[in-house]
Amino acid sequence: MLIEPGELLRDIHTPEDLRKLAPSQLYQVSTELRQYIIDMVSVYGGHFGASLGVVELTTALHYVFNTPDDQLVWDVGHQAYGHKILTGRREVFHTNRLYKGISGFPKRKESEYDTFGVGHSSTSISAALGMAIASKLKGETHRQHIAVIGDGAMTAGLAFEGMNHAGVADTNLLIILNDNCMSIDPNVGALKDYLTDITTSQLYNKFRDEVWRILGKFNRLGVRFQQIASKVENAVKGTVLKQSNFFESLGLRYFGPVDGHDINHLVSVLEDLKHIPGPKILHCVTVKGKGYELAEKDQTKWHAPGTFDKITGEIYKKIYDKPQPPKYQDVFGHTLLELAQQNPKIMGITPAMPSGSSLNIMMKAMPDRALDVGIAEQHAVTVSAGLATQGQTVFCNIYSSFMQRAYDQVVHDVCIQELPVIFCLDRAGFAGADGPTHHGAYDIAYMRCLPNMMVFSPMNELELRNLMFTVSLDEFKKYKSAITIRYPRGEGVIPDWRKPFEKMPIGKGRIIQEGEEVAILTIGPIGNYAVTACQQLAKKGINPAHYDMRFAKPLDSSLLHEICQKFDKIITVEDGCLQGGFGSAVLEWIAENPKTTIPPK
Amino acid sequence: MADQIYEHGTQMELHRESGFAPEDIAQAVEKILENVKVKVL
Repeated sequence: MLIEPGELLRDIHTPEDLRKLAPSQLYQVSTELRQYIIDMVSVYGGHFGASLGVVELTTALHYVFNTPDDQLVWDVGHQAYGHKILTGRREVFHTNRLYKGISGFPKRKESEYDTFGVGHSSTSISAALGMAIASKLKGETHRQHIAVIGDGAMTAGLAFEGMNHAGVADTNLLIILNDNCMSIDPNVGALKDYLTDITTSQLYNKFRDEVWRILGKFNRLGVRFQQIASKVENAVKGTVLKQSNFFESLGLRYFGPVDGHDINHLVSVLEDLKHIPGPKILHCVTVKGKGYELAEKDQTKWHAPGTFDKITGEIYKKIYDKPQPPKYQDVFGHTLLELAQQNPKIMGITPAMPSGSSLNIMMKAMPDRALDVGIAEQHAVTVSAGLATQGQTVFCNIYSSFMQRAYDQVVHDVCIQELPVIFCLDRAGFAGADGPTHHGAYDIAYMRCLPNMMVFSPMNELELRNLMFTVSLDEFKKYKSAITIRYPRGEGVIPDWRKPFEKMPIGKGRIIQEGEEVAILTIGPIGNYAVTACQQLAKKGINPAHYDMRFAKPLDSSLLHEICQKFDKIITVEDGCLQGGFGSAVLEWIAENPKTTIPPK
Repeated sequence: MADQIYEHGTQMELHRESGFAPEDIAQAVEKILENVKVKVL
């Protein structure tokens, strides 16, 4: 489907082209850019609301700053569609997130304008600061370094660590706080309230405008006058807000809040800030989904809606003539609520993924026992550990790739302390269109090596449900061990999954199919591929045995003895990395049990 | 998955690329039966 850009956008192939336009044309560029994003995402899918919210900001940044010499770092990156379209990728944008197509996130290999690869949140300040320090060391004092970070990403510890360093690093760093009160779900926490306080203080905003006007004059009078103006400005901010400014207390000059959709004002403000040396932060207030009414009204639904009719807003869904299996995340969400209704000790924790994990089902029914702690995986793990010390049964749901951010907390706060926290790792294995930053490739390897940690993966929805039931029982606590339950993005295989709970044996696998000559050992839903493979092979008269081992740790030693005494050819299959994974575990077991096994091939 | 970075695509496309789609598993079984060294993926 041919989607034509507007008449100005058509001739913008790089930001150089954009910078040739008059300021009075930028409103039209923004309008055309927004429409182009709507047109493209409605047909090809992808993230939606976040990019619409930064159309003006994107245009203004590339207009004012000399990108790519000035370095622009997008946090998370799902808001960077406008950036990609303005930086030479408009004509391939229809391949966004498709196999062999362009990435849905900024990617260093893809463009010199993508200064830093992203996908996870809260890295932009540290990355931009690193670039700024390098520029300073190289004497490239003309270069600007800009980190664009959302208020959701700002809640993570890494963002604070970056600001804490930036405040004393004396570099040309501009942090743009894109404040839209949202992550994928509505933002949470005290920082959100603080930002709202600044944004809505009429008295402060009146003073702010006046100070800004004065500051503009002082900027033309030199550094000494800027310092005086800055002191006056700080005093005003502190007095009017009745508290010291959080960002200024970290050594960052705070500017704003400004309307992130007023393109002309944004250009003017950024031009001013370009001439103010040192670390600074501009607070931009934006609306996620801006310019598409439905996306503005239901920002979570329109975060990444899939393809849709841009006129009616109808989101296209496949229509089936028979019941379909549920998503694993929904099995998790409904099962946890069911268990929590029977067991008052159960709690649920998510770091900013209520809808992505389906913990929102329990949050709605039991808001005191299911908590969204913000984009803060480290905190999510340690708060779960704290709850576990008090006897709570904690299900901490984190995407597999996001759990990488909280590894020390798993080791230090959970495993060493023998706390029976139940980690549910969604998006394990290949995540799909989100790409390498989101593939849950490593969790079997990084969890399996830890003492006091079990690793399980269900082959289907019933196994997930029954294992959740099993580990929710008090008797699981006798193991003094945490457990990782990993399952993939997307649907399972059993439409009729709401069956009565059954207790599962810990550390035990099962046989799926008896066979000859070869044994296929699988873990997790990938075992269903092995079932299909066995059906294909049966047509050729080949009948391998198939075992669903369920646990990568502890391995089912007695079943492995049985398998290895019967077969000298074993194939392991897992949706995870080779080194350190389930296959490695089986090889280690065989190496440790040489006398009971036929040498495997 | 091999020791490399896999890019984006559908889960099935990536499973095929990494060599453990159903047909890949079937092929591995056939090869191991023929005593052909199976490429580890």
